[in-house]
Amino acid sequence: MKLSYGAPVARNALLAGFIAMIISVACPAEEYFDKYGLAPASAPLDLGIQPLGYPSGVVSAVMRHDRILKKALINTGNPLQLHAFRRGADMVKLLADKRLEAGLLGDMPTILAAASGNVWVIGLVKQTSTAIVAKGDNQVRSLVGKRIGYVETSSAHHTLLQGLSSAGLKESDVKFVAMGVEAMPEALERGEIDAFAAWEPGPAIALGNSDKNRIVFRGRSSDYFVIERDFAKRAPQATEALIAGYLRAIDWMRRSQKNIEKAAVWAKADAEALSGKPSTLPIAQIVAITRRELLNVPSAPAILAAPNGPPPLNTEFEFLKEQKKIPAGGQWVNVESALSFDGLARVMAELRKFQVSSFDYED
Amino acid sequence: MRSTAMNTSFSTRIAAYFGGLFVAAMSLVFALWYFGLPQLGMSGAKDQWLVESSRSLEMLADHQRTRIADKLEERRGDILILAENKVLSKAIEIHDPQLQQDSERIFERLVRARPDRFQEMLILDPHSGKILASGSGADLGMQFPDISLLKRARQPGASELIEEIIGKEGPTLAIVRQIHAQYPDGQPNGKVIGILYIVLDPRNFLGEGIASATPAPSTIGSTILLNATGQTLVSQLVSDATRDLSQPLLTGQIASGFEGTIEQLDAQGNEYLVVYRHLPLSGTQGWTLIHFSDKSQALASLKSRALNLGLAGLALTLLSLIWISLAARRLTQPVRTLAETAKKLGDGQLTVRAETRPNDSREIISLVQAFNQTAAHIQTAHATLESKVIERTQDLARERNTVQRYLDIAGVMLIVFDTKAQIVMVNRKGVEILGLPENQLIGMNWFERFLPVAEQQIVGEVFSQLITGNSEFIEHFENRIINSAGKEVWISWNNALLKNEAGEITGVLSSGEDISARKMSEMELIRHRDHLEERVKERTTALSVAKEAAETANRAKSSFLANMSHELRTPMNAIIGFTHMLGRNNTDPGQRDKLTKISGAANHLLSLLTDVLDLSKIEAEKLVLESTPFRVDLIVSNIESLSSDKLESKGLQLVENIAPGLSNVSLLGDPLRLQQVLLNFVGNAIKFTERGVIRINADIRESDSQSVLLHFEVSDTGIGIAEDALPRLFAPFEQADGSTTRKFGGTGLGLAISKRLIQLMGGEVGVKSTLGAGSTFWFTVRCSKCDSQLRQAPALASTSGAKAEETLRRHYRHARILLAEDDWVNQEVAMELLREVIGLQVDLAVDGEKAVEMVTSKEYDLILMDVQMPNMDGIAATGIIRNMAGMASIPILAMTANAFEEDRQKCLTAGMSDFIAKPVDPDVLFSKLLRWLEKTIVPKAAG
Repeated sequence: MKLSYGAPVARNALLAGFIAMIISVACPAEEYFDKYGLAPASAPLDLGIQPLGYPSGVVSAVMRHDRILKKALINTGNPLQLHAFRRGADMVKLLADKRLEAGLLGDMPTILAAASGNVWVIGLVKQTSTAIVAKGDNQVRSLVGKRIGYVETSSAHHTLLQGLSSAGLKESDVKFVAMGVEAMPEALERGEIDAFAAWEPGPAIALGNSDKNRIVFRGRSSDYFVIERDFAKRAPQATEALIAGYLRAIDWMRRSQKNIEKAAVWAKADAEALSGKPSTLPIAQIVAITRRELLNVPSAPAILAAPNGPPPLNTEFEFLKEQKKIPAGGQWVNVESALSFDGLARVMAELRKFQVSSFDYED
Repeated sequence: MRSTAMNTSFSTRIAAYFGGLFVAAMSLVFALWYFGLPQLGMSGAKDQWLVESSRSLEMLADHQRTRIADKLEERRGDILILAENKVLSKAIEIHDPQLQQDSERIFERLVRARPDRFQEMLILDPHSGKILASGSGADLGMQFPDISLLKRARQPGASELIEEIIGKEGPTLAIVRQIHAQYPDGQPNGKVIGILYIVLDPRNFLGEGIASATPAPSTIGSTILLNATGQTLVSQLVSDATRDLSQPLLTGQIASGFEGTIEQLDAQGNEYLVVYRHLPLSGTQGWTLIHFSDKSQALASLKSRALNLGLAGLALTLLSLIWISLAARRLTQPVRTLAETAKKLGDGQLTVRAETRPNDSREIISLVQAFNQTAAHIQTAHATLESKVIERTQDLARERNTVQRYLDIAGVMLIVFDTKAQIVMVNRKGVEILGLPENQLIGMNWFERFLPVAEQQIVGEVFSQLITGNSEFIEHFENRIINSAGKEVWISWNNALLKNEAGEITGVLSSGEDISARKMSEMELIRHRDHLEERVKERTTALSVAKEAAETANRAKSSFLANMSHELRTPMNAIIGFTHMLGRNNTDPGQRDKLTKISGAANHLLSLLTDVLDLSKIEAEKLVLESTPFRVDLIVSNIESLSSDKLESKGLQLVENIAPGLSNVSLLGDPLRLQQVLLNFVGNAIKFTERGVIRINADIRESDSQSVLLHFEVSDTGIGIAEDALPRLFAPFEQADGSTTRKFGGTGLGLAISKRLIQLMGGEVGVKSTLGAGSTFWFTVRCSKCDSQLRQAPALASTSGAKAEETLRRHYRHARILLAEDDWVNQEVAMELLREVIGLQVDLAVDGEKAVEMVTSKEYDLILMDVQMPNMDGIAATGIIRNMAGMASIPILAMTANAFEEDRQKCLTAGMSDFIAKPVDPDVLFSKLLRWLEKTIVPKAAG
């Protein structure tokens, strides 16, 4: 599917796609996550994670092994259950109908979920760039007429359009191929596509597959840890325990190289479990990604606003709005509200209470 | 074969082949490299080189970013340690007065441990913004000026900020960290009690970072570090010309927060490869690191390499060509030696042999051996051949001598010319005629040497045409030559072209006979002939005069004959006419007998007159034969009619035997003369036959598409003719014997006239006779065939005179006749016959003029017209009358003493209807009157 800013045809196509998406939700076909048996407002704290993305998958992997977190949640009556998703967009509806209580999302799903007022944004899971990877080309302008894999309404989609715009290209100049992010590196090698736009580890895997693969463009993107508002209200202790586990995981990985490498091993296992095939990405690369995109980000997981720049997620919100992807009732104020969630501050103010600096991870 | 410029040597060919192959291969590789396939070609290499260049730039940019990030990371680590320093944390928490001193001491240690990294360290009260401590001791107790930063720095969770600030030396970074209160065990309790604010030294952080990461700006490119607003923080430029590139980059395609590679033009049109990278600070803040390089510079080394490669290839090619050339010469040296030996052999040195060298290849040794073997064979064969050649040459010499002897004994000059007219061979006779020895004649140009100058050019051109086959060859001709003695000789030539096996003309073989003597004779003859012609001319002139005189005499003779005929016939007309009329009314037997004798004598006289005139006319060649259609059967029928009285009187029978092929067949000829001859023969037969039968046979002896040869016979059973008299029968005035005339009468001219007539008609005449048994007179005559069919021959006397007279008297007495006659005697005779005998209405005109006048005034049924009349003759009068209205068909009958055939023809031509000769036979007159009156008027009953 080709997207075009302001192009009526493309807009109609997007609208049709969105309607199809709505219909597919209303009349769902069997989805891979249906087997998770998620139920609205259930007692367990159902946490949606994305093992195929780093460092999000690393954070979730560490939390999966956090005995303190599990114990705390059991104590609150909301035992932790992690559910693997292939993409964040799949979690948005589940958060909206409260079948998920929390999730690790990319910026676009975060906005979609937040704009509807369904979730609070706890903190940053990743702050990095999403890349356009091409085979044999070194510039975006060389992609004219070529097939480009992407995930619709994802941060990668946003980056792809930004990249095309930077080279003076329009959507009609290339051919969009919608696909899962985990399938992109292999599709590129098989020649099914000529380039793709994806977040890590897709670009890293592709670069490792072939010297001909080049990152021709990078755009900023972020992942966020969100929690469903009703759950936060209904189970504040569980919420705080979850936030503490989140902070603990980051702090633990910051503490030593050994910790982060262990976390990378766990994350790789989670990714292979979901994809059903071995991951080619080395542990060191997962570690490097995690450091660069989360651990070394100043103040992470706190979300900092630029002193003179637009608020976080505002640019992306405008992009989705222009793409008419913001659902009815979705408003920027809801996103702003979601970003003002004080859960992280509360937990950080009482680090000892929430055992943020205590670590007990099962191997 | 001898080596020529066109046949290059073996070594040259080897050198050329391999050299060409090598050059072609090198050229192909270079062309492919320069123009051809991606990766291999220059074009592909250019793209690849640009890709590699951009990759290098990207790696360099990544490396620079990493270096800067690493430096920042180090400083962040230092500051983290400071922020979590328990002493410091405790001093802040308890408001320890030693805080400043501790801070100065800690900062001093920090700077000493990490020189040139930090410019200042401040500890701020998170709530009031008061500077609690200062690493340099400055501004202590002062209010921190950046309240916004302070607010952001004290926010829960904002444990660390990295902010761009304006330092003492320009833009730099400040790292801001929260200082938390700690539990007794050293664990942070989450309460922010202070803000640690560290200003980084930009020179070390930025300048050294970029410089250390950039090996050589002139080769790699330029580097610019921009902040979020596009302000240049630090740069390392190849030249000032690149300084202005940053602004269009930022305002164009590069936005903060992104990374990529683009190609960008500067204001001067130079194209740059630009790589830009994002340097994250805190939050969404970040700097942009740009690294760019001039594409032309990036390709400069490639072009230099291409040039070097081309030069190296050229040098390699030249070296290879030299090497190939030397190798080829070395390899082909034995072949050249062998070729030289072969040349010697070819030049006749049959004993020469090739030699091998120790290092020769097997192929060369085999070649030398084969050559030597061949040379030996050639030597042997040459010796054999030479002996055969000598033998054959001797044979040829003998043959040539023999041939030369043959040629020499020829009585004519034999010369062979080549195609340039040069003498190739000449025999002894030729030498004799031309007057030069053979060895001098051979090779001599014939035309230049032996032809008269005036004829050389034209004869030479003719020869060229002949020798090239462009003109018909002249096998025989005669011309004159000038021999070496300057004497003119006439030669009669017979020529033959000489051709080789391919049919190409190689020369001419000519035999020339000296005909000078004959030519002299011919010329003498010509001179005589010319003289004779003059004599003939003179004689012809004389003869012409004589002929004219003769013709004049002839014309006088003809005129005499005509006048004689007219003058004799006129009185004869009176005699016969009056005798007839006297006899008609005379009943006295004595007088009637006398009148009968007078009539017989007159008729005999008339017959004699007619014969004499005919014979005279024939002899004078004045007799003109007719050529009109006729039928033999009708002529024979006429004969029977004309002879019926005589036959009846003697009791003879006339038997006609006409060949079937002649019945009803029209022929062209003179029927009157034929009839005259036949009538003469039949008359003779009747005369000399007393009893028996007279036969007339007519048949065709010859016939072709144009004519027939008729054969007539008249035989009788009469007295026959003695054999010795036969030769004289056809002579004029001859009869079988003198007694015949006395006994049977006759002039003796009939057969002579018949013979002349037959001869005039192209036939022959003869007689067969047996004395006492009868005679057969025959003649042949050739007549032309006639396409038209003649139905009826002219009726000479269709009705007998007595019968006609009776018919006229009974039925045509009312007919009005005009008689034109000038002679009064003839007028009287005619008037008597017409008025008295028949009773016709007759008017008399004394001349032609009067006749014309009377015709205009009165209507006549018939006109009898004399010819010779005064004032206007009958011919002129007839012409006038015929042109008068209504006179076209009136019968005009000539009645004239001009009785010759030409006279008759003249009358008919003038428009007369019929012809009656004088003396007038009354029977003939009555018959013709009846014939013509029957055609013009309706008969009336007698009465």
